[in-house]
Amino acid sequence: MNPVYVVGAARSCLFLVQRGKNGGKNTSLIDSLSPDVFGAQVRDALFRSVLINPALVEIFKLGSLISQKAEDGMFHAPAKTVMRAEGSGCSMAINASTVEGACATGLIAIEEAVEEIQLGRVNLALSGGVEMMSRHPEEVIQAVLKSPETGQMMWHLADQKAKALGITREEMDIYSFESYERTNKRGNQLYVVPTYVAGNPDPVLANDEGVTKKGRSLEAIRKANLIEGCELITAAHSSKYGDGAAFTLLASEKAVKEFYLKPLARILAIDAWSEDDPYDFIIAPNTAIPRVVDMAGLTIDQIGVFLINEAFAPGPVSFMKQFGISRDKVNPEGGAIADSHPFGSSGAIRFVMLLDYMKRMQLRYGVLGICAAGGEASACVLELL
Amino acid sequence: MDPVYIVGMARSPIFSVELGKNDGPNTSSASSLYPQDIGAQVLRSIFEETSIIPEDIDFIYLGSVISQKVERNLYQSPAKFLIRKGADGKPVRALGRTVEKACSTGLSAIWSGARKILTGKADMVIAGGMDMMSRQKNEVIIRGLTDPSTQKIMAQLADEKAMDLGITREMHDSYALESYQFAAVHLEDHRIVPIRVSEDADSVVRLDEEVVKKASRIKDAHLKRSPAYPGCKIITPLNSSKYGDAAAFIVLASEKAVRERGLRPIARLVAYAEWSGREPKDFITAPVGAVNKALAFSGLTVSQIDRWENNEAFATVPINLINKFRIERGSMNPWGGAVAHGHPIGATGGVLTVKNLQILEKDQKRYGMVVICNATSEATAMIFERGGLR
Repeated sequence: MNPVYVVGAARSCLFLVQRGKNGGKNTSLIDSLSPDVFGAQVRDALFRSVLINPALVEIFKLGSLISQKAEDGMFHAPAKTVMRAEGSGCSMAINASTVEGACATGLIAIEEAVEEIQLGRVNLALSGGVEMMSRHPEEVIQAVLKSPETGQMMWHLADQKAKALGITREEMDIYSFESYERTNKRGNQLYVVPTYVAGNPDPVLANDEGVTKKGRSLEAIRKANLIEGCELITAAHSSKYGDGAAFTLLASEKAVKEFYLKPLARILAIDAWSEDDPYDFIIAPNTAIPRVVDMAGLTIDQIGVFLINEAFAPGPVSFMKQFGISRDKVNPEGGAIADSHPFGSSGAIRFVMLLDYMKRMQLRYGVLGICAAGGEASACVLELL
Repeated sequence: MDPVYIVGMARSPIFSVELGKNDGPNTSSASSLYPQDIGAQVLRSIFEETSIIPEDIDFIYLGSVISQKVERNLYQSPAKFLIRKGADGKPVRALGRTVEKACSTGLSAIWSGARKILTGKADMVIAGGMDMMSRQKNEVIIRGLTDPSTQKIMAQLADEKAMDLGITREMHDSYALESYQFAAVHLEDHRIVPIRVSEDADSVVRLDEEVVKKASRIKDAHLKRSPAYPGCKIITPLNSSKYGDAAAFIVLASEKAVRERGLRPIARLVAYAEWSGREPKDFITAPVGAVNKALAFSGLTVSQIDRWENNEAFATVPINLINKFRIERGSMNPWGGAVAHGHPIGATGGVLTVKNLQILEKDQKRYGMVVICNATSEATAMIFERGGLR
């Protein structure tokens, strides 16, 4: 199969989302933007950083969960709507489609574009995710978090699994404390692009909102109340709601040469895995990750950094324990516990963050793993070029 | 392209959808069911009629436009939820994916499933679509049919394009009349999964009888009298596709799976292509681009395609295809199309694939093409070859 290169990457800051009061809509610093306009700002920034005519990009794969479902303005062909939104990256005749696979959606969209290049069907593909968990009443978000089969919430499944794995409250408290600390220390990012709202000429934020928020003390985390129906999991162990968008431009070898593009990284492997039982979703990355590392022809000890989505702390905690990986190699700049997890775009945002970290630290190999409802996980291996 | 085989297929009837009265939701004889209740009955029939068991399936690609967006119990992993429901407690390890590409949703889902086999990530995949245009207020459907840039509904865009192309009202009406007649003649030729619409033992819908019963009452005079849609001169409700509820899925398999598990291929997926125009009204002509591209991928010529299925969103689309490629009317939607049968948006790609393969079988023909136009100037096309391992 043809090799696939990352030739462009851009992501918005992650904006924290507050729950609406009295059944009102959830809010954020950017909730006045519609998701297509928000996404188009990131799209345009990407095309400012890569010298290529957007009209040359053949396909667009959009990952979105809440926004593509709940936004009236996205009801009619959401992917194309994002591409046709006004701006320098607007593309009228791109072949666009939307894909959804719960919390792995953003990485799945990238995987679908990768496959089209691998098969030699296209040479330039744009993919990524756009998600706003603000703008909708909380019941919309709850519907995503609730199993239609059992009525259980995702944190109930994570709680039961943490208990079964023998993960303690203290382990998760320490992990989460460090997640806040590490997020606070996150420095300047290479691929973060500005988001603007009407009436303000300056970008809304310069870095992820969770970075600027004061972290929680370990003492406070230890005292946090359990989530209803849980025996271990508290809000401090859980990812936060967020708004975020990220895109990556992918190219075949042919396109790299023909358009003089500069490859930032190569995607060595990208795949997914499902456990038999939805309750095992939190450990699904622990199978998906070794599988992609093997597909890439590498071993776990060759990987310089692992980003593992912090849907709930038992995910990364169980991964570190099972494979004996040090904390410094797993989510070294914090994660969704502190900076948020916009469901449909997280996979794409963490993909860009992984590349960002690898580039700054000059790490050759990096891995992303992300769990998803239904007992699933997606994962990929990047090689920095 | 490595071979990808179709080793199972099933579809529900298309239920006829009535507009809601007094601001109520649209209704059909199935509208007391959830979409997944129809979808799971279709999947069960595949598992019952073939040697395929749920655990064989590596991926399920669900196409859905309306239902996955508006039904709250389809908010968490709808594809996974559906296959677990269809499996009735048997083990499931399929990864669930939901795809949306307006009216091309179902065909796009089938291609996405095939791609998993071509990249070696799967040996067996279920793909297709499920959508209900009942259960929702009509304003929800209209929102889906409104182009965001021009705020025009699809019928108005089709009308403008029909004028540009010089396809007259008479041509539309005479094409539509044949669609109704073909549907009535071939009602019993379809193999359809009977769907139980309530607990009552008699409440089973077995064929597209609801839509065809209505269609068979339509005569030339009705078509001529039918007022055009607001802002339209050519496009009328009678020469346009109708609303519908339906679910349809096929099972795709690698050559390895076919050989190792002794599966009987119904057909082979030969090629798939996507095409996009620039102007919103170009969705009417985009199928021409998709067909040309699919033919180029396959190395086949137009004359080698024996049977065509088009979504007939508006009669303009198949008429334009017939004109551009000199297709015989009797080879285009030979068992009637969405003008008569209905166009259950996200399920259409699955329904037309099942239909096309059944027609190839019945007529003992070799190549079939399914070509679908979709909102935002796009189209998709897929070519099938009937028969087993080569």
